[in-house]
Amino acid sequence: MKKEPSTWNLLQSDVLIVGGGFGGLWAALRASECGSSVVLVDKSFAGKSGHSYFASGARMVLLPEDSLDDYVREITLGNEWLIEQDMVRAIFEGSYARLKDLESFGLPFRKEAGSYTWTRARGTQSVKNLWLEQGTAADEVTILRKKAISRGVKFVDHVYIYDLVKDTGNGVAGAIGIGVKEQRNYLFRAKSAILATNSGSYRGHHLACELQGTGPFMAYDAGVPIKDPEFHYINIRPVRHELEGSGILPAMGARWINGNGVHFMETYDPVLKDRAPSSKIVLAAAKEAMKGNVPITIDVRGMADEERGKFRLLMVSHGWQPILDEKCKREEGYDILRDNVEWQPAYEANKLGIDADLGCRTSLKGLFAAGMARTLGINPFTGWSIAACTWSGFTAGESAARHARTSGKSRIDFGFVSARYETFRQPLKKRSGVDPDDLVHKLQKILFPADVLIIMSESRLKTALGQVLTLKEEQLPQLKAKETRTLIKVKETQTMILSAEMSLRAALMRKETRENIFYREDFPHPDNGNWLKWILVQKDKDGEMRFSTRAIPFERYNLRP
Amino acid sequence: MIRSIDPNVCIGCGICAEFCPGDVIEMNDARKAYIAFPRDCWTCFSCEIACPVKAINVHPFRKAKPMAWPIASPNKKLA
Repeated sequence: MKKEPSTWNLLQSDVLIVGGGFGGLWAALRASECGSSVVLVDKSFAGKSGHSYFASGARMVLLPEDSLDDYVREITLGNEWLIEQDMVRAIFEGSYARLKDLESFGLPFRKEAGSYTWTRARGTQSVKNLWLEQGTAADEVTILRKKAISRGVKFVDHVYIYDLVKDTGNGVAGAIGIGVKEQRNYLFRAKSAILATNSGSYRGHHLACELQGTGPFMAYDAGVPIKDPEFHYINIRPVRHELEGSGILPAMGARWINGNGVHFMETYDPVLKDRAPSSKIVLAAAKEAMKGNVPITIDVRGMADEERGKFRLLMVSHGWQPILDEKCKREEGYDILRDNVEWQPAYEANKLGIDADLGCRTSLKGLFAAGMARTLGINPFTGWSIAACTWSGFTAGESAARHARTSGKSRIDFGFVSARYETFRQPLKKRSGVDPDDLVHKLQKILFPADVLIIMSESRLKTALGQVLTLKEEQLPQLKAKETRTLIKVKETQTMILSAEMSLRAALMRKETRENIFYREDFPHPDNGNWLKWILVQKDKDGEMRFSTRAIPFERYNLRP
Repeated sequence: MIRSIDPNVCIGCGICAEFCPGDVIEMNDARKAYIAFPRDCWTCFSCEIACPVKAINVHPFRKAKPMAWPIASPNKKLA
């Protein structure tokens, strides 16, 4: 920094937000409403990127006539007890007010005869999902960005944040980043910082999974504990292309079928059958595949034409599905609603996140976490993510604004900035070395086979961990970059190796099965005696991973096993 | 994956380059959009949808990635 001051852009605000999905945008709206000056930075274009933009838009809402206790019970049971019940309560308590906020922004939700219409969240008996009258989550985040701009939020797009900046008083004083399109360095100075980058992925098969959220790993690096590292979100998709519908299609008459023509979900879940939660379908599909009963597909041949018509009308995600539908017909010779194609598990995201309290405050002074960068439970119920990201953004925004009001000017440790800048740029100095894309591909080959993260066992987890550690020791230090774009990929790859190690080590610790969220074939039953606990991982003084467990505080909660 | 941007149709508005979530598209010196980093494409269709003059064509298949088990029937409809 001292060496090249002319190449640096400096931006100052009360609150800095990293990430422009639901978490970051709601944080921006709330912090600005609370009187803070706000800068929001996104590595792409905030409001057009990330998982939020590609979501269908289902939003869990507790309507005034609904029972909060019922909602909390169902979400808690769906997470097999491993969720913060006070957080679930807070998410639903605020959900109706946020719905009203959205309507005041010009985003009406579907109604009939003056009452909201809703669909029941899959895997629950009573939790309601509400839908925009027109459009999807993409329209919602677009409007949230416009609203934030009208409140004075400054957006900085196409800038990648690679490190937090510490205050000389040991809190957070901002962050450092680099322009993705124009190679400028950025120093963001702020009294409060909110990480809303999503969690990590391994560039999986799902539409938005090229995204690697760096936030949790920057927090880990700064000494903040990471929670739930052993869990993953794995969905199921056609092998070569995207298709929303693993949940919707079975509701419209399609059925899961294996290579022998057997509708296998009848065996795995005799009650819900094809309508079982996605985690159960993924596990069942993997078991069938391990028995050799491939290919797995969703049998659309028996769907009624009326249902096909309805599916084509559904405006899922931001409008790509009709284009895909038409191109598959015209160019590939099949109709996604008449012909069966092979489906396989699709890795979507790490469920690990930053450990934070009910105010979305982390253990580091001035650092807050929102969206999926904060742990928000494990079960990916339809409609849960948007509700939870909205709550955490709103809450983190309020907490960050309060912190900014009561703290003095941050004092940046420039020596620290300089050191981190040099570390980040190190791969540019290598003449030969490893390309980050190649290393990610090797990591995917280790992690994506179904018997590693879907059907787990001690021996296979140990094998995978050994392979990951070999990559870490032999290849990671060799990563090289010629330009900024690859430099960013190097940083992302480092975080993927980090999360893989955390995840495999934590999965080895959890010697039990909770069938909606975690499956160890060598420990096939829940162990409430030993494992009503969360696993946390923190970087210790020597830079080593330190794992610990935290008993779930049932004494504070209404529901107990 | 993104397969083409027709320079004869592109009006140089830059919307695709701004909205591409993977920053895969850039503008050249003649103010025409081009595919700068094809292997980073998410296959999200955002560019094709955003383009006001339909200059962009995305193929529906994503790039090949390691799978949960060997693909039994690549790219084809099942019998």
